[in-house]
Amino acid sequence: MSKHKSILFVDDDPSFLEATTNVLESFGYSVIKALNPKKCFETLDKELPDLIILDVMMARIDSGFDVCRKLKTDNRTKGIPILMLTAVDKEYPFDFGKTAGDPDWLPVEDFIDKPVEAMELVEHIRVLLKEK
Amino acid sequence: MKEKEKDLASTINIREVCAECERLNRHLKWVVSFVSHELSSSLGTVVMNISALADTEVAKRLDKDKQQRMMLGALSSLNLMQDMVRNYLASTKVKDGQLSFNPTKINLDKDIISKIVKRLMPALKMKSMEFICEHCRDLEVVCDKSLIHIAIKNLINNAIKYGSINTTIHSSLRKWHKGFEFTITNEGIGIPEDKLEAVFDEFARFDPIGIGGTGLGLYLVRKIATMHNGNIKANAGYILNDKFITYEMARKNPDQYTVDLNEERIRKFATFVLRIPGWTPAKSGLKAKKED
Repeated sequence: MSKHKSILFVDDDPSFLEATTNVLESFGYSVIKALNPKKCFETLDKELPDLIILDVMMARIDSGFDVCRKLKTDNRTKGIPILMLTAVDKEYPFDFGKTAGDPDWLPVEDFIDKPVEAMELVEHIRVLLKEK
Repeated sequence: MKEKEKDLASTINIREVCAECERLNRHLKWVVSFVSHELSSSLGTVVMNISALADTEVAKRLDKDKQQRMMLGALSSLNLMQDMVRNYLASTKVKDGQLSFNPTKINLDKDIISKIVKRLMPALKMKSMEFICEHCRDLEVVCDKSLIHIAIKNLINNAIKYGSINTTIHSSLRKWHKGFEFTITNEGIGIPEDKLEAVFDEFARFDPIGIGGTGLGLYLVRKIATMHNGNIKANAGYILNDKFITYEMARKNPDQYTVDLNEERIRKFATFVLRIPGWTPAKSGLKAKKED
C-alpha cells in the first residue's frame, strides 16, 4: 500500500511544488517539501523518505546534479531512489552507468522531462516504489 | 599614407563592430535561455494542474477545495507567463525606442488598479493574501494608460510574488504634482539594503528562494516612470512589533530598534513608491507637455 510511503520533493518553484503535492497526497503519499538543496539536506538529517524527487534546475543551473551526487555518495541516503525532473532536454548527458567522480555521472534511478502530466508522474513513482 | 591610415581605421572599426556583434549575440543567447527557462517553469505548473483536473483517475481523488486551488494555480501561472512575455516585448520596444507614449485622462482606480487586482485575484487567493488600496477612489490623472498599467501591474505582481502567505499588501494612491503617487508595501523576502537601487537594473533579480521571473519588471517600471518625468524608489527594512523600520531607521537608532539578523523568521518588508507628475494630453503631432 502506498499510504505510508513518504516522498521528499525538492523543487525551487513553490507553485509547481504545491500543484504536485496536491496530486501526490491524493494518492496517499506523504510529501515533504523542500524549496532548495539546503532544506533538502536539513530534512534528510531528521528523516529518510522512501523516494526523492529532485528538480535538476534550481538556484544554480546544475544544483540538482550536485544534490543527487551528494546523496548517492552518502551511506545514509544512497539507497533512496531518486526521480529527477528535468527541463534541460539533451543539453546534459545522462549516464547512469559511469562511476562516482566521472563528470557525466548522474546517479538517479529515473528521470522525466518537464512539463510532466500528473498521472505520468504517479506511474513513475509507483514503479520506483515497487508498487507496480 | 592616408590610404593606409584609412585601411587601419576601417580595420579597427570592423573589429569593434565584430566585438559588439559577439557581445550582443552572447546576450541574446543568455536572454533566450533565461526567458525560456522561466516560461517552462510556469508551463510545468500549468500542465501539472490541468492534467490532474482533466484526468478522471486523478480528479476523483481531489476534493472541491483542492480542485479549486489547482484551477487557480493554473490560471495564476498562465497570467505570470503572459506578463513575462509582455514585459519582454515591452523591454525590447524600450531598447528600440518604439514604446509609444500617448497620455490620456484616466481614472486610476477604475481604469487600472481595480482591473489589475481582479486579474491577479487567483495569485492573491493562492497565497491567502489581502490587497488593500487606500485613497484609491476618484483620482483622475493624465498619463499613458497602457504604460502605467504595465508599471502598476508589475509592482502589484512583485508584491504578491515576493510576499509571504497570509499577509496583507498595503497600497495607497495620492495626488502628487497634478499627477499621482502610488505606494505599495508587502511583507516577505524584503530587499537587501545594497540592492535597493540595483533591483531596477535590467535582468536584475534578488531572489534568495528561487521564485523566478525575468528581472524585467522593475526595469520597465523605472523606464515608464522616466518617460513620464516621474520616478520610482524602493525602500525596505524589518517589521518589529508590527512597526515598519527601514534600514536607515535601524542604523540611526540601534538602541531603539534591536534587529536579530540571525533570527530565521525575522519579518521583512519592501516598499515601492511610484511618482508620476500630471501631463497635458498630446495634440496630434505634438509631444506631451508636463504640467508643473
